Amino acid sequence: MNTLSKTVQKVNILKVINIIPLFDVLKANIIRSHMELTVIFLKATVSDSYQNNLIEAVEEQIAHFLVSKVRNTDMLFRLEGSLRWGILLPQNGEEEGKAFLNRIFQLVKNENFPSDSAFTLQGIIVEVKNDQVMFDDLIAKQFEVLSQLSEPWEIEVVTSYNSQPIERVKVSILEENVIFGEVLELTVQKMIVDHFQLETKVFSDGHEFLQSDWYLSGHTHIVIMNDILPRENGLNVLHTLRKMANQKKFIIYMMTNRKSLRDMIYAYESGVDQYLIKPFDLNLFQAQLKRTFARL
Amino acid sequence: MIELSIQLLLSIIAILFLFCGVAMMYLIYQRRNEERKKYEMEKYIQKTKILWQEYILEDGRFTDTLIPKSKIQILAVEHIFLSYLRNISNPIIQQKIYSFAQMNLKEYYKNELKSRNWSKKMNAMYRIADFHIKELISACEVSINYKRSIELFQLLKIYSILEKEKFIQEILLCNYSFSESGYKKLFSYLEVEMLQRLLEKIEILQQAAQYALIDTIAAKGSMDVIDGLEELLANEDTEIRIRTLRGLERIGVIRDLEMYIPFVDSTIWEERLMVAKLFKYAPLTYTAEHLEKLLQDSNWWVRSKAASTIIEDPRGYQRLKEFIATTNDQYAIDMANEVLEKRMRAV
Repeated sequence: MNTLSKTVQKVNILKVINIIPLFDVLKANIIRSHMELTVIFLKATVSDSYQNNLIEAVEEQIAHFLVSKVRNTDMLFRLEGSLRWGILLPQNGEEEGKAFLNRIFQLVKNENFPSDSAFTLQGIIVEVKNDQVMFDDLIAKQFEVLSQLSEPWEIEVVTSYNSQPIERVKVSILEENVIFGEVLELTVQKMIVDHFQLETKVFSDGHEFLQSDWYLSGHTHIVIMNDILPRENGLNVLHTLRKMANQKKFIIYMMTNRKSLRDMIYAYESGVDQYLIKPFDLNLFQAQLKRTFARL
Repeated sequence: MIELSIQLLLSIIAILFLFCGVAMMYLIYQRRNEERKKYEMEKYIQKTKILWQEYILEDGRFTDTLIPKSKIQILAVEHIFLSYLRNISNPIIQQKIYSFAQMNLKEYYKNELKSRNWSKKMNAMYRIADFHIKELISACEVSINYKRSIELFQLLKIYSILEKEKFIQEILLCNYSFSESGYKKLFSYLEVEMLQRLLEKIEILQQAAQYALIDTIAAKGSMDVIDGLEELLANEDTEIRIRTLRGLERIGVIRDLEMYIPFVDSTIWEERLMVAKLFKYAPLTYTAEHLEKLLQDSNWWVRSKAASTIIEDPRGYQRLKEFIATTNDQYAIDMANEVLEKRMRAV
């Protein structure tokens, strides 16, 4: 059983100065890999705060306890001042942070503490979703917020850093039928997708698309194309895009009249992300696109 | 030897030149005419496309501007409608198009059906089917030449889309002879229930229609048709039995294994092949004995399919190993080793 350790042996925890470069790397990845991160700040308050020796002992006990509770991917660090810690949870959002903190609080509340070292915890959760945040800002913020918390076991969620930057996403429609191409463009343009700015372009064939430099930029690029197109067909375009070094930026929807299982399997194995059999419902198409954006 | 005067020869050449010139002029005129029509159509589409989008895709109101006033405008509207119908599946959109065609294009197609120009008549029939103009069915019946298979086929297609009961009646009369792919196309517009009704009377149908019906019904993948298909396994026609087995394999359900076991010993290798494929839908515990028999078949395809069916089962690898250790059939051992090696490479 993971009980609160009663040892006072000093546990090796990262300091703020160590965590800053790690935070900066993870922060840069928020945009690149679309993965937010969350920082939890914890403050303990000891009832008998006049006994300095006791505070040091409790600090080490809590540190040991936190070390035993964080996952290998999480980073525990000690904040300046006594009885304050931070935990950096990469690839985790506010909800995971809340769940983690509630679990920690529950475990502490359920432990049998030595009577002379009763303490309570308070915590704040900061979800970071953009790369403009500086770690020093978070430190300053936690001091401000923690000082305002009055109740023991209180958890405060800080939302100042969870605004996601607007990302530009290209949407290419490769369809020979002009009327249907425009309908698809209209359908995409009408979609309201938070945090994304969509730029659409319609091409009447694969050759026109591949001759343009539109697909060469580093933006996430959704390609909605027919399998059969004049000059350069959709499957050729698919193979060309999937051979590119940065092919992962492409999300490819293949529209087709072919219903056979073999054709579908071939398309998916060749790198298609979504297979649309014509005629298809535009509401379903929009729902599929929304799921795609949700995963970005 | 025929003697021709130079004057006569020159006259013949001049006449030929004149003829070529006239033909050339005619072709140029036709080409220009086609280009003009295309340009006019595109111009009309550009002018009205927003109105159409609002009317068809949104709750835009119908305006008189949308009613086509000339033949070119009708062709443009047809193009717009077909673009929507062939690419977008939505009952509301379909209904809007059908209602519009009913209100504003019906008279045009009625006149076209009376035309002596065969292509005009056929085009009208295609559009009647596309836009579901049920009221023109009787006009189609009057206008077609029943001796021409293509016209008859189009009429049956209209029945299969718009008058399903009549289609069943007509097809059971067997007054027609279409290719298998033709029948498949006709059957593809029918729902499973209708196909089941035809399946009950399959013996009345022409052979090509029988084969097409089995393939179409299996392609629907409905569990409801399994009963009807299983009854056909006892049919005298080999091709029907093979297609039925293939159809059941496509549906992918074995309800009564005993029904398929006689095919393991069939004299027709295609039946043995299909049953080797089908057995992948039953647990290996029940089929292993039969699959091992098929693995020792005289036909390579049967051996190959039996081996792949065994290896697809989680216990198949071990079973094949045991089989190799106990059999003397070198062909079967080779086949078993081949699939085992493939599996090892895949892992």
